[in-house]
Amino acid sequence: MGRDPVSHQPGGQAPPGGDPGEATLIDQARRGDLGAFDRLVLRHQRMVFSVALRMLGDGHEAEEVAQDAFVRAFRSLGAFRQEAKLSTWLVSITMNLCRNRRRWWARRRRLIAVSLDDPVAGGEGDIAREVADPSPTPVHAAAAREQQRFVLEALQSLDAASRTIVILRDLQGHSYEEIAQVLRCRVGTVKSRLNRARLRLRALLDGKL
Amino acid sequence: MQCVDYRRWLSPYVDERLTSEQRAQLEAHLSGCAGCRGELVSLRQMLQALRTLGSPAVPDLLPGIHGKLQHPPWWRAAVQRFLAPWPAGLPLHGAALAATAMLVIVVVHLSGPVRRDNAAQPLLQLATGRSYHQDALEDKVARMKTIQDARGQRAAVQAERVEADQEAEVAEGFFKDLPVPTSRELDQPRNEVAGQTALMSQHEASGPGAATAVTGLAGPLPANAAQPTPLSVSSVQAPPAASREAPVLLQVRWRVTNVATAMIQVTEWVRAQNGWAVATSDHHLSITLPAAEVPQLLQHFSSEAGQPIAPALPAPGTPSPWVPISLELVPSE
Repeated sequence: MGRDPVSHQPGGQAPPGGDPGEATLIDQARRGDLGAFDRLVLRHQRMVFSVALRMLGDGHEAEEVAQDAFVRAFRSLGAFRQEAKLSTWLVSITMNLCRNRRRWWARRRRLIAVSLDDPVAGGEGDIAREVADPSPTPVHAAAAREQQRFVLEALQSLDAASRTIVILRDLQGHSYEEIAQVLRCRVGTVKSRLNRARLRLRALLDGKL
Repeated sequence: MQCVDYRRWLSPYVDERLTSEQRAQLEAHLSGCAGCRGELVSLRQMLQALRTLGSPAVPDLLPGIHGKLQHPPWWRAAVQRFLAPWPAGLPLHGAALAATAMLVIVVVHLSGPVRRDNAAQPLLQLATGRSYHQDALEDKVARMKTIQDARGQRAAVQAERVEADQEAEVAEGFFKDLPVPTSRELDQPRNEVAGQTALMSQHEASGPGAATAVTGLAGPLPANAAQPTPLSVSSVQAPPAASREAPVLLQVRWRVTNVATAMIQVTEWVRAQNGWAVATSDHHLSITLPAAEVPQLLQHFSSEAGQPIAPALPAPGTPSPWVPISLELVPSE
């Protein structure tokens, strides 16, 4: 097996290997140092917010959940064992909060949908600059945005398990081992679930790409 | 291996999670299979589309996080609220609550010895907007259905009831010869009250309403309670004079074949006498009855056993309007 072609792409946040400063910051935050915790937030907020946004499809909700995830992490730092990476642990918390939020929506019969008018609500205004192959003409840019809408809609239409694993792997770029830690399952299970989720997503996007 | 098996490898293949042997095998297959090549292209196209979503611009989360960290978690807030000193307004609120409670109590008592559900009628109407009489009527219909079902059962055992009545007469003759009063003190050390109770057990061999014999006073039912036995009062002692005027609790035990039907019967009767009957379990009734009605209760459900309970009742003229009664319905064997 060669180098993982997906992990730690721009969508992924966690730096490879151990960050020498992170353990120190965690220790300081554990002792109540809010400044150290702020630095941890700045390091990981993009990853946490991205996961929440892709899981929920709503920028305001994602911001709320991302804040809650960090608050919960700060209050539970004492229980964090540094066997796992902080980013993996934060993703686990975020995923749990997103799952709870979607259940809360389901109980209140809230429509879970992506706005076609503003699919990037909540701060994706610069998404065009980050498209891998930015189109030179407005026509191509519009087509790219249309394609992103389809993808976002399809993501929100997926079942929760498939959406989770696709976001973790194909959007956030986590490795199979990290996903196994987040989902608390074996790597083999991750492989089979990911295969199934990709097939479902492709079926939803059939003819739209 | 067939195409369907190779296509399961496509996902780990694009992630480079296949072993070198698997990868070589798959690539060999792809070179000769246009369908699987098309699947691979489609998969890569979708993954590329996912990557075009890019990374969203992140709002500044820190102010919100700091704001939320200033608020304690809900469980800590609840504990703090519980342990905090009372706010200045609480006495006023408490006084208002107490005044409301007093008003309710006064209204209930002013209405006299009425049925509890009657007293609650205005509140029920206020709370539900539903006619109390409509509720009562439906309740009554349901009870009547239950009683009708029980009647069929009673008719089937009528012959046994007659026999039981005869045995009860024998017991009554024996009962009249006993010295009166008979009662029993209960719970004196705890309450420091000369409480007197009389434990009466009425045996009904066949069905509710068929009193047969008093099988034991002031003690558990004998093992042979299913058979009508002579009255046993060996452990009964005369109560102090003071306790006669203020009975604390009258314990009655009634052996029946159908507990549910008997409970309905007793409840109906007690309510008809303007008393209160509350089922505290499926075989126990807590009854509050006007003192004047207690002999009738005992006569009604135990015509032979009414006399021994007399000492537990207030003396004539004693202002003790209510008598609490604990009625336990014991299913017969």
